[in-house]
Amino acid sequence: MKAVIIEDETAAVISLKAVLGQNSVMPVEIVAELESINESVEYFRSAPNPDVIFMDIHLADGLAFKIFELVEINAPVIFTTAYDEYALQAFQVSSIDYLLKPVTQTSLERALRKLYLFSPEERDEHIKQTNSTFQPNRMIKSLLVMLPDKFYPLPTENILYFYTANEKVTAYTSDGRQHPIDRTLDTLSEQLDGQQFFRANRQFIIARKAIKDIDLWFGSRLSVNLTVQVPERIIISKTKTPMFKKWILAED
Amino acid sequence: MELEMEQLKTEKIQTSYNALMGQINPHFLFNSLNGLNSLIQNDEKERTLTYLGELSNVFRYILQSNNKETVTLAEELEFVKAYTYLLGVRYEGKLFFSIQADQKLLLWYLPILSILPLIENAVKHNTISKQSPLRIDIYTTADNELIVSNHIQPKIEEDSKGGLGLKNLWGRYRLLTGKDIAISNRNEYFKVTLPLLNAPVKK
Repeated sequence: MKAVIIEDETAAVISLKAVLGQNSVMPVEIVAELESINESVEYFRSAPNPDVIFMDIHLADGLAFKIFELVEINAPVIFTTAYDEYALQAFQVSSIDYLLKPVTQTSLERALRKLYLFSPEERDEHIKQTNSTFQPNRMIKSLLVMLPDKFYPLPTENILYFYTANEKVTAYTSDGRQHPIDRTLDTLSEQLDGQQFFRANRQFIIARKAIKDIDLWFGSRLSVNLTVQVPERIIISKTKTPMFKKWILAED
Repeated sequence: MELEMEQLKTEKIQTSYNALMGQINPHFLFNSLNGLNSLIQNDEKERTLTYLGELSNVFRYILQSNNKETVTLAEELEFVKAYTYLLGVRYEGKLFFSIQADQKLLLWYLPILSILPLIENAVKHNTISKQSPLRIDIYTTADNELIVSNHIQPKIEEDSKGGLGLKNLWGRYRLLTGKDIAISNRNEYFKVTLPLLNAPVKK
């Protein structure tokens, strides 16, 4: 059986590999060891799916759930965690199992046996469930804009970008109008369709269709130009640049 | 002014409680055991014993910290070395520490467990991977200060909001020493400056 390990702590990788090697359920071949969201997304975009993925929750560059938002995972996932109360609850629903670290021989073998006994239908169902648990399927199609004397619905497809300044969030539409939004950019980036919108930085969420071109900026950063005037230059940080490139290329 | 002192006192009680409940937090406890597990799995007897010794030192120091206000820099750095040994095993090959202290300043004082929250913050808020290893520098200056500094390597998305650890440290420092810690975030480096004291604070 081919396995991928996603884990950022060197020690945890060593421990997991050791128990995998010693297990008596089935031989496990580790085809990749990944340590970050970036690396994982990159890997799963091109590499064939393994038979199982062991996934730690706190990765080098953020929480592992983000991976499911950025790439389709077509393999059963077994989460591993040292201590995560909230996470454990979430996983009981969909994951075959979660393993507590340090992973013991008994708990690992139980998880592998469960996996081994899966029918193809059960396997597919499991994969579907895991993906849907973490993909933002609560995407909003429309926002309600509240003015002092009226309110109106604003379809998200009309929005070119969101901008925040002085703790106020404003949506800018293709007709040149501005709309006050009473949600933070953090909340919006969770609720909006990740295919269409990208959180560029602290100030901006930009829509794919509003992008005119992109300049290379100093410090390995990018500067994004929209088809309309914006209040300040939109800079994509060095860390976010790989994410942004993936997002730009992912149009289907 | 009085109100401020009261507030600082409350924060002080809160932080000594946090020192116990927060520092030996479940994540740290279990991840430390994970480090031990990996050494045993690798059959590294010498390192396992060293690790176990340092783990005991770390727990002992933290558990005794509520009886103390200030300690010498030498004592605190001894603790930091034990703590970073554990982290070094967990993040082998991607997390590095450099500790450099002027001999004379080793006998100066600072509030106990001042450096720990800074290391924890650096580990929590930065990307640490083979591609982007993190180095944390701890060193003294000619102005009798201790600096903890690291290159800023932000995560794609923060796990959770931070800032509380620093705010607590600032409050505790102020209450105990009357001095302020300085925080700077410049040229891609995050740097916290702790003023050292030439005498312990009396209870």
